[in-house]
Amino acid sequence: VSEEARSAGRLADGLGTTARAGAASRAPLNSRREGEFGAVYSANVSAITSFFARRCTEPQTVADLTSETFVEAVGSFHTFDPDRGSSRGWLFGIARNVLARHYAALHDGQRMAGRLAGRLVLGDDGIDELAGRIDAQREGRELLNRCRQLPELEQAAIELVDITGLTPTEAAVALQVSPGALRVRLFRARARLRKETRPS
Amino acid sequence: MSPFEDQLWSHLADRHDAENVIARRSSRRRPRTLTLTAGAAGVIAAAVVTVTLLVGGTTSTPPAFALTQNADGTVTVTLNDVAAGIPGLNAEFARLGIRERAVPIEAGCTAGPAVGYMAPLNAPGINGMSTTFTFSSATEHPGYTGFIAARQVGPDHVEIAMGAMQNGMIPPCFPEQTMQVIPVPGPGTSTGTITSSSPTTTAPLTMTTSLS
Repeated sequence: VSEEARSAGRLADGLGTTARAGAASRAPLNSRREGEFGAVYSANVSAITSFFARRCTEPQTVADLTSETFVEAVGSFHTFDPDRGSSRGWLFGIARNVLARHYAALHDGQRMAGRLAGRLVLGDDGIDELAGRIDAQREGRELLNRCRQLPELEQAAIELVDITGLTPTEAAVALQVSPGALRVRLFRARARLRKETRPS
Repeated sequence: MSPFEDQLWSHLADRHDAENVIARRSSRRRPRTLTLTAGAAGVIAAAVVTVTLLVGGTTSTPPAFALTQNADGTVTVTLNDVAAGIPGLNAEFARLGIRERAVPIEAGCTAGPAVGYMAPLNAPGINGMSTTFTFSSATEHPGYTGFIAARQVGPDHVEIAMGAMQNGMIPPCFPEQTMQVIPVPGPGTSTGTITSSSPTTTAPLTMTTSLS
């Protein structure tokens, strides 16, 4: 099992997770709904890429998992209901599922890339860019290690809210728990981390 | 957006999943054009073909495959189930005298590297397309047989790529790692040019495809 697989459940830092504002209305996606998805993409692609860059050490893997997330998102966009939560929570829920499948494939000794619907072949520029993003997440991976003793849900709550910048409500959508439950777990996780870092 | 984000966006825009969303939302149908690169090694003549395909929907209980010979000589194929549909589809090709073969794309396939029709190894995977497509067969190209490479990616969801190889060189399966599909933007009927990537092929071929 690779380092990536062992990294499952770790948390990460908050670098590079600032959401981008504004829609990306670009040809050939030029209908109203296409514009809506473009806006969702523009607002979240950086955060989703960073999410995977915190978990993976290979640029191509980051590209594939990011691509897979958005391929799944565009395929199910007709089911997305903004009245039930923001697109960020919805997208991160997809990203977590994609990551879980990736880890499962690694654990089984398989390469997921060959089976990914969203396979995206990087050029040299893309590799350099994503290598930089992965490098920028080094500090986050250290933080991730500190949080490994937390229950998985608390790790995820810390990552999505305190590191990635989702609101508790958005994180609750991604984690498929109630906002109230999310806040409770977040409070517990923060308290545990504070206690752990306090000098004895 | 960054170069990677731009590349990913273009990738999404070219994918049929995006196309399906667009089609559902805009109630119109748009063609997709793909280029399949199936390179060659050694003495094997593989081909590159650009094919215009139309993204099509499926019914609630679609057949494993369907084949229709159109009045203009083109052939419309629907393939919803690779495992169940390919044997019957190939039988229909043979019965109708259409020199095409459907070939499954399988992760565990070893036939591809063994016979050497390799596409660029740095571009594994298939970024494919639809379950229904119309094409003209390769029968008009003596010495070549067209192939339809198909991979099951979900229930009633098959990715397709097409090409042609010298007669007798089409393997029983394609490995995923040996093929690359490059989306080419541009709607409408198009003519694809088959150009051999093998030094042993003496003349380029042309395969004309049309929209249903």
